[in-house]
Amino acid sequence: MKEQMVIRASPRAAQGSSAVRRLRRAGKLPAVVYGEGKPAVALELAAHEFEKMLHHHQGEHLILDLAIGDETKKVLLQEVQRDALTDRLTHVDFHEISMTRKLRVEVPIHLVGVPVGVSQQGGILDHLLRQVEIECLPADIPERVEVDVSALEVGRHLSVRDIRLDPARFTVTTAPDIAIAAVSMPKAEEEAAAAPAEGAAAEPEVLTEKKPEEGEEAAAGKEAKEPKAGKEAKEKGGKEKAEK
Amino acid sequence: MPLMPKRVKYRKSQRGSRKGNAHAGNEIAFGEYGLQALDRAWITATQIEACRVAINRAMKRKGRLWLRIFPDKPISKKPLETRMGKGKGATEHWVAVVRPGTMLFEMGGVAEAVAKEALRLAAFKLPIATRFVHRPGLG
Repeated sequence: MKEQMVIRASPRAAQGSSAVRRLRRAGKLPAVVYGEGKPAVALELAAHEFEKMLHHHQGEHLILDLAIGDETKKVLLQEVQRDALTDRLTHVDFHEISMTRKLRVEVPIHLVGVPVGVSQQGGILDHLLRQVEIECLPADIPERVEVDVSALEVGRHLSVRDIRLDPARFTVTTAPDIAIAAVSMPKAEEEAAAAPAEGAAAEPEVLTEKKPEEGEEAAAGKEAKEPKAGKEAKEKGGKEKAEK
Repeated sequence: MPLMPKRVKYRKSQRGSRKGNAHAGNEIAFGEYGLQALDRAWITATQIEACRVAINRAMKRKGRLWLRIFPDKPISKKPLETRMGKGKGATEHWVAVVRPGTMLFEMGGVAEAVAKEALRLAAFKLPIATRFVHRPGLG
């Protein structure tokens, strides 16, 4: 971060999915600005210029000057939404900030070093928590939080309380007992393959299917036998009568 | 034994719709690298299992694999040389409904080159076009 850039935007009247789709087709990008207790304002930007700006500044938290007409606001690039298939920008969120008030932001965690458990003991490093929430002044927002995992052995883990940040400037607001990274031994291939075979049935259990209970079954069996016996007796009787 | 649910509400299902793109399960959530579907298909339990085996062999049990799809849809078939009618056939296999954008597999704890090769080999086992993707912060 620490990049100071000016983004030009204009208020947007078009709202709703179809109107916004038309806007995107015209090379504009829908956006919104909110924060500082003010109501949210819908905006539109030039999509290509914004994409170029993002491409040149690889940072999670950019602080920008957002120019809407004559007014300029200090904003944090809160969220960038992209299409999962085409990777095109679909929407941008700006968060209006005050440079003197602390704010909470999610900062990515980068693991540094190769754990002992991986290099010497043959374990696997699991990166469990990828972002941590910290409270700080906008000018202090770090690009990343680095966590040294080189001393991590198999069966050990690092948690949020192991993050070393200057306590005067930063407050970690994520729960301290959440694990960031752990080293575990890989599961044996045979074990993984055998596990489903043991418990697996040829067909799954059907929850809505009516299962006849023992008592009912016996009763149903009796009923089924009795009428048959009755019928047989009647038929016999009939035959006898006919013979007579 | 291929993947299938342990218990289901109904024994058989209708074909359903596969229109549109994947709106959920279309991003990397667990690992660092992934294989994303670019087309729509019913991916069978056997195909998923073949991919799992191919990936595990390629990464030599050094990383972690996440299967992001599960075959929860029963597909029924009538026996051969059977006249029409007499009800719906018995369940023959199970499939996962995949739409464009669905993240099929994820990998972590391995180098990018290893993940790329493993997922390339897995992609050969699938009936659809796929692409290799990584987390936004990586690469």
